[in-house]
Amino acid sequence: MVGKLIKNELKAGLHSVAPIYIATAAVVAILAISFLFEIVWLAAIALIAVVLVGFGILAVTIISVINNFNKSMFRDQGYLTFTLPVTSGQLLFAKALCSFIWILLSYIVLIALFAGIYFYAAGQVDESELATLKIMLSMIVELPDTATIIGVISLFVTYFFLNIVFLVSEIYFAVALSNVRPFQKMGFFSTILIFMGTFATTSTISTLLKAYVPLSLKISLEGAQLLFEPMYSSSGIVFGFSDVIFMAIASAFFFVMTAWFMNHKINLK
Amino acid sequence: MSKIIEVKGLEKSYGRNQVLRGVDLSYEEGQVIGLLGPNGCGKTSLIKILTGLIHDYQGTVLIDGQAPGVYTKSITAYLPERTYLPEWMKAKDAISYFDDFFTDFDKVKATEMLNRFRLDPNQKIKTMSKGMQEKLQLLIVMSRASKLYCLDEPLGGVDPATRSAILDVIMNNYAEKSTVLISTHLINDVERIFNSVLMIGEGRVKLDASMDKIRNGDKSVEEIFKEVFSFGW
Repeated sequence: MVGKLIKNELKAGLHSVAPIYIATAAVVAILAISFLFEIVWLAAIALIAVVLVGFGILAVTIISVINNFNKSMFRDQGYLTFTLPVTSGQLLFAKALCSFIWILLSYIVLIALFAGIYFYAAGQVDESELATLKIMLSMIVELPDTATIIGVISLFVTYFFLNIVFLVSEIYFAVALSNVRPFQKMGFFSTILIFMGTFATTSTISTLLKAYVPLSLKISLEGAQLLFEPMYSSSGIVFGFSDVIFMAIASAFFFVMTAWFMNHKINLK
Repeated sequence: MSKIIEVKGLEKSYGRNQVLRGVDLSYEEGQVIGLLGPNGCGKTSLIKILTGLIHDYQGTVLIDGQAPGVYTKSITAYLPERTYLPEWMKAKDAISYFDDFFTDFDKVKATEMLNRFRLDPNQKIKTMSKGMQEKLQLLIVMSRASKLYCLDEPLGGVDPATRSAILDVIMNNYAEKSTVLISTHLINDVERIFNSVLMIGEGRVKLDASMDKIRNGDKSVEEIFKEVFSFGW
């Protein structure tokens, strides 16, 4: 059943985000044509458009994640969703996974767009791509071994993924809580308010943990090193490990609370 | 015969507003039950509890011997009083969706009914009229061979000709030995199809009787309804 939920959830998500991806493809195509035929004014306009749609993809995806979750669970569609023969855990897992996939995809497209712009800009100022790659390679070669490089990349990717999971959990929690009776009358405004409040609180806790909890990971030429001191007391590339643990626990808490609201506190109107 | 619906001491409140006050019910399978009562009497809340949409109630509710959950949802076909299909879907997507989740769904039957109702399988739900959306929902729900059908106001807001067509669809398509619970206040149109009548008012059961018993008396269902709910007339 989870597979079927994911399939249908991805279909629903695709209908929300497809227009912005089509717009992005169109803008990139115009940019490519302007480069090919050296139409400078068109390239300049297309470049601005690429930057705008780049951020637009992320914004539209996050709005569609909020909207899809709210509509499919707590509005009229909820009458169908909640009468499917699945558990609320399966429902939440499928929705969260699909939201994660859409947000991740939007980040990948955003990064790809900006990387493309960077390489184009580098080419424009006569700094050859080959030279840039050589500099990047020399930086990597100076690192101790491949295992450390893989470790650092894995760490970055895990941290990045965890941030997306955390964002999804905060969104779901805010949407679910805003549909509980005292907040229901305020509508979408309460969702925004709860999300902002949650985001501000968790960001503050995260910053305080980084500053005061003596647990961090330092990346240097000697490799990755676990330090028993706060993140901000070391120089170089340092990750606050307490922050990662907090995000994992907080994400789990937000998902559990969302499921609890779904099962106990929300009455579909 | 086994009990398809068993409800004991059911209470439900929305804040300070108590809508169900100690409701007791028990129905065996193979019946068509008319759930009658004035607006706001708790009919929809009762149906929502039976279908597993409302969890925060007091009392015991059993569907085919089990509390509302995954199993009961798999044997209960629910038609709400509103459009619950996602707007982005086409008619054929909605059929595929039900086919994915409900093992008792008959895709061939649904497609046949779609043609009979002259609905375009490729038309988006968003572009359908309210009447078309209601037809689509009804045909999808009635294409399931469920043990229990909960139909909340299936005749609300439609003209007499359509009402008759809807009743035909319900009566010709519900599975044998199934139980059909129909909530309505259009008593005249549906009286003929009921085996039992359940009247709810002020959150309590006002009348729970078989149609045979009612027919043996000298009053019609509508007359009894007016008598029971005289406060609302």
